Amino acid sequence: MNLLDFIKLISSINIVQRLLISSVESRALPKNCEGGVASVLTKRNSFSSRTREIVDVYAKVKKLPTELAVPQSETLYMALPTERFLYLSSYKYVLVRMIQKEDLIITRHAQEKMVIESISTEQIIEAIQRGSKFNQTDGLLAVYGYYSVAYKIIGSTFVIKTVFLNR
Amino acid sequence: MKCFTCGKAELEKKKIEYKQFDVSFGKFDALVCPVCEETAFDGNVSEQIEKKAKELGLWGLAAKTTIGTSGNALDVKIPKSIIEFMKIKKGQVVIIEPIDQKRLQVIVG
Repeated sequence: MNLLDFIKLISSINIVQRLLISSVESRALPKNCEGGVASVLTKRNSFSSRTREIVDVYAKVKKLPTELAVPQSETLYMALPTERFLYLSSYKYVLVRMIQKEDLIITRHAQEKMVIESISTEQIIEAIQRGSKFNQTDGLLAVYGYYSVAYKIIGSTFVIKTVFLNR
Repeated sequence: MKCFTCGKAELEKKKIEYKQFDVSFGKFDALVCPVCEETAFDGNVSEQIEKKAKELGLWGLAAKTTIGTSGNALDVKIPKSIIEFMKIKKGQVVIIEPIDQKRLQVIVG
């Protein structure tokens, strides 16, 4: 084994160790967070080929299907600072899976309200991601800007019960 | 996926006709519960409905309006989008009736 191979081996062990540590740490993070994998990010919401490589390794270590762990597009995953979760970690960022249109299930009542009050699916996603959340009897209420979204989470899907304008 | 309303049966994929304001938007893929008949749409289907509503000019018909005065009576200003949809004209006779203390119904003859 030459020196170059040895350095490669050491670095790969280091990555795997870090990923294993991160998988343990990720238990403390929200469900849709991929803890630690974004530690190499320097800028918020930016992805490099290096990040993609690490995410790929992470998928193999965690035995995840690649489409779940590897970002297909830059908009699929968002990097958030760990401080946001009041979480002390060696990692500066965590990858949070963005909500996609496929993750939404909209009830007929909610769809009718959307058409009447001109609230689009993008606005619903924005409210869920950025709005203030309030616990309700069965689900959550996200208040964002001039409109609110009542929904509940079943597994990885978001069931939109109703939407309405804040008057 | 089980029905999120009754929880008794699995949701079935069906193509259903979407109607709103008595106007057909066309047939769309939907998830229907065979027990309680709750209907739900996927996010992508919802986007298609949104596009169709915009094409038909039915997107965002709800509007805020203020009640004005006309002599001793009060009047309600109707926005242009609703006028175009209901095809009403100035001087046309309509029947108004309250549904409850918060809702007012206008019947165009």
